[in-house]
Amino acid sequence: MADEDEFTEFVAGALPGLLRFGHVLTGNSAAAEDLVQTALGRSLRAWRLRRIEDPRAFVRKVMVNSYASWHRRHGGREWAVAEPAGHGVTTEDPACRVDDRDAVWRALRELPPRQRAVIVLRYYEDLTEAEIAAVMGVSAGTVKSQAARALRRLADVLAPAEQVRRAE
Amino acid sequence: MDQHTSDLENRIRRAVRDPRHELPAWPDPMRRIRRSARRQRARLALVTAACAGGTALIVLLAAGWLPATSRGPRHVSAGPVCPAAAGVPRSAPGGGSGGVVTRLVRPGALAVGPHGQLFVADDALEQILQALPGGRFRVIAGNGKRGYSGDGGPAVAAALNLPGGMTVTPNGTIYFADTGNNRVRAVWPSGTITTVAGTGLFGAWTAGGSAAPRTSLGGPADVAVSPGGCLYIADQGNSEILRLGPSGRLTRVAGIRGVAGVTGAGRPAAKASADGPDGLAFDQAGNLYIAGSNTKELLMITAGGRMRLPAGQTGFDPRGPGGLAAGPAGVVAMNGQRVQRITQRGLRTLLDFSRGHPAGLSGFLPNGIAVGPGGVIYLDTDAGNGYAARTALIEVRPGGQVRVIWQS
Repeated sequence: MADEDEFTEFVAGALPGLLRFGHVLTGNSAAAEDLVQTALGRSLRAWRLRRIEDPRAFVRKVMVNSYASWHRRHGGREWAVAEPAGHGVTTEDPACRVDDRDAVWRALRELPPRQRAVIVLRYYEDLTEAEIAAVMGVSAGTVKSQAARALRRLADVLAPAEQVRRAE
Repeated sequence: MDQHTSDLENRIRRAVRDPRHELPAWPDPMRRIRRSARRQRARLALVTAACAGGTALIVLLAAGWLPATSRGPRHVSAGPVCPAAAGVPRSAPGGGSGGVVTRLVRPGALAVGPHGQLFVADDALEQILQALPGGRFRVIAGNGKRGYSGDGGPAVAAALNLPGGMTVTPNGTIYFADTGNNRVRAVWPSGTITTVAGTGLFGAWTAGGSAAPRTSLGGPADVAVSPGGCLYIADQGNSEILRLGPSGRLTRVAGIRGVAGVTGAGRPAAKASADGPDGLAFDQAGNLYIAGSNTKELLMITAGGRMRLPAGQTGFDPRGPGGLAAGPAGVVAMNGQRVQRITQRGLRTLLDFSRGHPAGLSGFLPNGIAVGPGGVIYLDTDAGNGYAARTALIEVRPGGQVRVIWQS
């Protein structure tokens, strides 16, 4: 049980960060909690077999891969409760200035899961291309091309908002 | 790197690090994680037993990756058994800025939060309240005046108009039918209120596929969140069930234009009517139960999308907004003076207030129902409903013991 005490300690320290990472990754708080729960359950099973070197990296890897494969199977169906990304921003009210963070958050949610994972690992976790490649189990070249594609897409989606801002 | 790209990168950094996306901590994380590990192991064992060979291995690996999303309600957490005695959890909506009151007037729909908190919608006070120990209630939403105001600000300063059925997500967001405003609104864990669907105008018939805030609802009565995380709305006036999808658009799940009663049982739900729905609840298998108020029927949309009458035509008597509640052992319904569990063999009576009532609470006719951790059932009634001697909020333990949380 000494092993599990160590794991418990790891969870206590890492949980807030993992939940946040999950939220940024999935764009949905309920999905994030499920993802973290599943990944930690899996990690606990692995931990009992003494296989984990860097538990945080392991959990992150499980989360990214389960998210992408789950999303693929379910095709994004039945995902988000309308969580108007900004708690407190009413998007239907033109008089209300839309927070740019919400616009970016919404645009991120429209990205395909792998592209989003790359963006989240790069700009939230600050990982290098090589580290992202290791987490996702792809080559550094793929990471680079996915990141470029994601940025292009975000730029396209966010451009109209910029025009609106400039017009104001 | 050009200026444009680095500007975009900074915007992305700000968005993903936005502190508003912080999620509340779990009360007992290891319990949750161990449960998840046990489930994964069980799934592994099941598939191993069922199949053999290399193909089986691939299948079971895939099964192991399935997140918990598709496994039924997560509303019931390892929280305390008695919400009224549990105090205010850290993630209490309202942020503690709401006042405390000691009186209910017309308690209706009830809901239980992720930490076992009990919420009460009182449509005479025009407020949503959280039960505190000692018969007190904290205001979570509503300034006490009937109307529509306050979106984007603190929920306690907002005006509501006949708050009806509610549902609470695992992160503590309360969705509720703001019935008189023809809107569905949300109180976020930060305590902010926003409108999620509805223009405020009473819509004649909702066009499926339109953006939720630009769609007119017809007096929504209840809401429920599916195991997959979508918000479902019982649009009572239009007699339809709507789903708010990931894109922010509403899809009609059930309802036939111009048909107010029951038609189309056995058909795909989109080709069946919804009978003036005023109660919604999902069971763990993903079946959606609907209390039909027009001809008084219990309806069900199966996880496969077909409309059924699970109890046959039994003269079901739904008791107003939010008359169905999801619990760990299935969906529980108010049927007149009875509280019944929906089982595969029909309705099983758990409580019958026509055959007896808690001391001092003669004529108890439930207005609202919710199921808490451990299967505790919460019920309320008000003295204005023509039966009840007193307005009251009670808790019924699985063993049948009744505790009065508050009475007039």
